[in-house]
Amino acid sequence: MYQLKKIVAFIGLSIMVLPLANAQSRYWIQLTDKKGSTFDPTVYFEKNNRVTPTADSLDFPISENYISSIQEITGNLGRTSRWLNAVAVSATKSEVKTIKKLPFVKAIVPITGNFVQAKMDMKHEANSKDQTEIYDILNRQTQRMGARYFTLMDSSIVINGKGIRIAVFDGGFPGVNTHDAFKHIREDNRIIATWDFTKNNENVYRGISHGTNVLSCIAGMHEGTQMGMATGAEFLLAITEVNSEPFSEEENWLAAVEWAHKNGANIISSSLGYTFNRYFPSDMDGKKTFVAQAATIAARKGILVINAAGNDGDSDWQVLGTPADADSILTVGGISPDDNLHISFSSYGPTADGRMKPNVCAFGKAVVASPKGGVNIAYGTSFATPLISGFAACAWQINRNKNAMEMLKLIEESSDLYPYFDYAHGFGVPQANYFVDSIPEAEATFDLYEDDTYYNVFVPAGYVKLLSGYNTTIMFYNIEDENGHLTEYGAIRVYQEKALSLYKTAFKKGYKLNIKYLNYSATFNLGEKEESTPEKVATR
Amino acid sequence: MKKIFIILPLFIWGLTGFAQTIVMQNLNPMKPYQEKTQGENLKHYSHMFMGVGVVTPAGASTDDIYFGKSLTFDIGFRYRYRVSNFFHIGNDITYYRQVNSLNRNGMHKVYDGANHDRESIIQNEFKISPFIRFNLTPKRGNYLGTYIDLGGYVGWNFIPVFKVVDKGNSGNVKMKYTRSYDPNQNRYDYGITARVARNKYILFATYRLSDIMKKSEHPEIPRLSAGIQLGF
Repeated sequence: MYQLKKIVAFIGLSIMVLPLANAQSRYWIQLTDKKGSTFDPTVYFEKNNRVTPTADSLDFPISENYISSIQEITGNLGRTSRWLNAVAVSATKSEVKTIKKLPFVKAIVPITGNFVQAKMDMKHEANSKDQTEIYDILNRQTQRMGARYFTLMDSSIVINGKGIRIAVFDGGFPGVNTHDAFKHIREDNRIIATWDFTKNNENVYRGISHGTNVLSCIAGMHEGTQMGMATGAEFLLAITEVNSEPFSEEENWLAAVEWAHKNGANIISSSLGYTFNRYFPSDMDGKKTFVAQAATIAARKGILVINAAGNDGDSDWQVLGTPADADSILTVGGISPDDNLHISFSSYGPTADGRMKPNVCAFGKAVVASPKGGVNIAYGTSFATPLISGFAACAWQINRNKNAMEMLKLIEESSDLYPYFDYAHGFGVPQANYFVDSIPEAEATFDLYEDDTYYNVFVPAGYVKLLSGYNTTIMFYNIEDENGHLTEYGAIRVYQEKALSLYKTAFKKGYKLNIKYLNYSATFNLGEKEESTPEKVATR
Repeated sequence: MKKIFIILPLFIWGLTGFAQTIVMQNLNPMKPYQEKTQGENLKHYSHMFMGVGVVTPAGASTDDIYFGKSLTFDIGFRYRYRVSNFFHIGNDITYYRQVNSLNRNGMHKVYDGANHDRESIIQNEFKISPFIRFNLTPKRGNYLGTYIDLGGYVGWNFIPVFKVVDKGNSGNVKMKYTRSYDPNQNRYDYGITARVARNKYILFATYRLSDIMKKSEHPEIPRLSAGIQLGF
């Protein structure tokens, strides 16, 4: 009996240690060029595109000769990325040393990961039986962006994202093929293409329900009410995430971006992000990670990439993840429908290199479709992002002469805090009336006076709103340094005429104070100057 | 004197500027990017942990001990210093309790030689356990990864206990006898430890090199225990 116990103990210890003996790790092998590869855009791009997407050398395939040479050293090849000219491999340290010596290998980058999935940006899903709350949020989640303005236009034009193709990347779309919320999409055959990058087949109606929730916030309908604004758009659905597969999520995301371009996507809506499991905050500079590089390339190729900022606002990480840090993409933060201010879990900007993020925000608590039927309330910047994606599709529908970068700027300019911004709200919530109405010039609602110690912002008595409606009593302010970075920002509730006092010592030479209150914005140049000359920028 | 406790708070409140109710504020937006030294994959890291384990028969002088019914419990504080991506050093400070249940049917000669319904030799120890760590996932973000710890410990058995439980003649009545500061147990011990872990899920094994029981006629307590720890 004692001998048996010893044997059992030894076997148990071996089982613990054996997995560690597997010395293979995963790497991206970046190549120097694409010598010998040929490219035919008429063959490469899918026939379902209305307009053949623009192509360049980034779309050329990876050299087959190079792939064969790498495969001779290690047989474990993963995905390839045309845009980054790289191939993913599993290799031992000695194999990596051999691969490094190949003349066409530019760099070898470890793919980090340890059996963790990409963060899904979903705080939690509440099975709320409170129907009042559900209908309240359902009615407001699109109206907060002024959806009614898109429906009040000339009735001959239906502004619902028609003609815009949106690619959605997620962990699964169960129920999209059966749920009533997507019936209008199915009946019009507007799910153009699907692909499961984790299993390499077309079936995406399985997996994690997160994708179903997200898609409903782009284009779902519930009892005649829009859950998202782009009910007339076309869709490309891709599964890129899986719970238990190590390392593969970023590879799949890269492959999905190229697939979306190949299938003519105008917008990529991605509620996914990578943070502390793979990176440090200092890595969030929009350049280091492969997914950020791919998102930037997609933007360069004319796709409007919209990504969630992340749900780490109240954790140690705090800041946005990647690819939300990428330049030229629309990063979306979350606000609470209760007070229209930053919702606690929404990740903050800026990026590690000081670029302003998030760009805009929307409700981070939304009504979503559940795969098994009905609707629920869910939390996360995952759901702010598709609300913006639906908005963007509608805005782009009536501005087809604009390219992706121009649309990004217009969406920022349409936001209700613009030109004010901060690292919690970005420019605020985009507004549809910007695209359909002329905006009247706003009246000044405050002014600045100084004494020996403070800069004081005064609000005339008529603009002190004691009954809070909908952001009406909130004053936003930030202090901007000479490089355009914010050194401080905040929001205060205005109860009396002397609304805000800031210590003069907070301002150095060249600093600016930006304030937004009741649709009026102003910038004051302050700091160590003999005269302070306010520059007032009037907005709607 | 009492007046100052009323006036002072009012004075301070007046200085803050009561015109504003701050609903959101960030006074240092770049703070998350400032270099940190505390973190799971940064220079310093510390955390609490708690563990349970079983005492194996290995190292026991006799098979007087029930395997599986002799349990360990520990709760402690672990500090780790990152020398390099691969190599770390650290130390634990732990409260450790090992309950060694004796087989009542065994031919044991512990203490009075009598058979009791339940007998236990209990160690209550404070331990200091230095270790070295080899991290097997060097390229990672700010998380612990997969690692192996090897180390040793020195323990102070501050309350050694011998405990006996007997049922009374009427069957249900229990009579307990507990001898704290049991003179038959050594007050200090030492041994070696090993851990295999992924993040804060830890498998551990401890082997005691020294003797617990003072006299040779008292059979030695098993030396090897193994179990799981969870960090938090």
